[in-house]
Amino acid sequence: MPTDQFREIETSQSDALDWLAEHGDTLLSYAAARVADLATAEDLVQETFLAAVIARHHFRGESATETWLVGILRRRIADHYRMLSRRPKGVCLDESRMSEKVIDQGATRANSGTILGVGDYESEEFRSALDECLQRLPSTLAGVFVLRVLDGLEVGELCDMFQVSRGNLRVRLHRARAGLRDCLSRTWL
Amino acid sequence: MLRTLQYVFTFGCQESLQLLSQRRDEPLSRLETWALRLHLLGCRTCGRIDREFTLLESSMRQRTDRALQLSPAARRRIRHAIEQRLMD
Repeated sequence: MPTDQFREIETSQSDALDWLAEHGDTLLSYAAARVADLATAEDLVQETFLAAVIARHHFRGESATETWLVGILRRRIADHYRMLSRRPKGVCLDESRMSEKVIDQGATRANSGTILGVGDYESEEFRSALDECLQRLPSTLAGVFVLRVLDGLEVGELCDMFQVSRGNLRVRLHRARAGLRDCLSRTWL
Repeated sequence: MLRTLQYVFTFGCQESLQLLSQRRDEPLSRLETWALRLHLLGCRTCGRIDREFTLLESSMRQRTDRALQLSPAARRRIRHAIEQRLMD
């Protein structure tokens, strides 16, 4: 291997390991808030660093390194949900997830339980109930909801991203809210 | 006109909940806004569910406040993957 190339790799490696040391935790926190489990969040962080290593020549330092890395991670998270929602029905059927039919039935039940005034929403118990419900939500619903609520993506952007009609997206967002609310009213007691 | 009246008179909790969700993402039409307003005047359940939707979204946003740390094992794995990628 020529010396220049070797030196280039060495510099890139030292840069990438610096990024990992400095921004690894921030990226993990960002991903963990947006996906259902920690293992997936760690995988997405790893993919982000690998993509950053490949794209390192395009990074001109115009934005802060962290902003650049978070930008890559955001695209990875969107890809992750897009891939999950493209998976054909029946493949890798996960019994622990709620079915959309059940969500529809629960969504309009007037006498369904409540989550208001039951306890402390800041508590660790509430947080873990929300985590559990988010894990049980079908990924076709969780993806659009997370990107809408946490990243503020607009309806049009989400339709383009997931290749769905406006009507379909509305139904997905509504089912996500209704499903989570219904799940919390039963889980968090 | 007939369609408008039909819409307002057949407007129930199902339509209301769909719109309570939809208005968080995009503006409603004038007819939808009025039908929803009228429904909420007489339906406490839908009003409660709307407050629960608000609570749900603010709790979701609080998830972003959690500061996590990469475990030493995950850090080692990522480090190894970076080194591997650079050698390819």
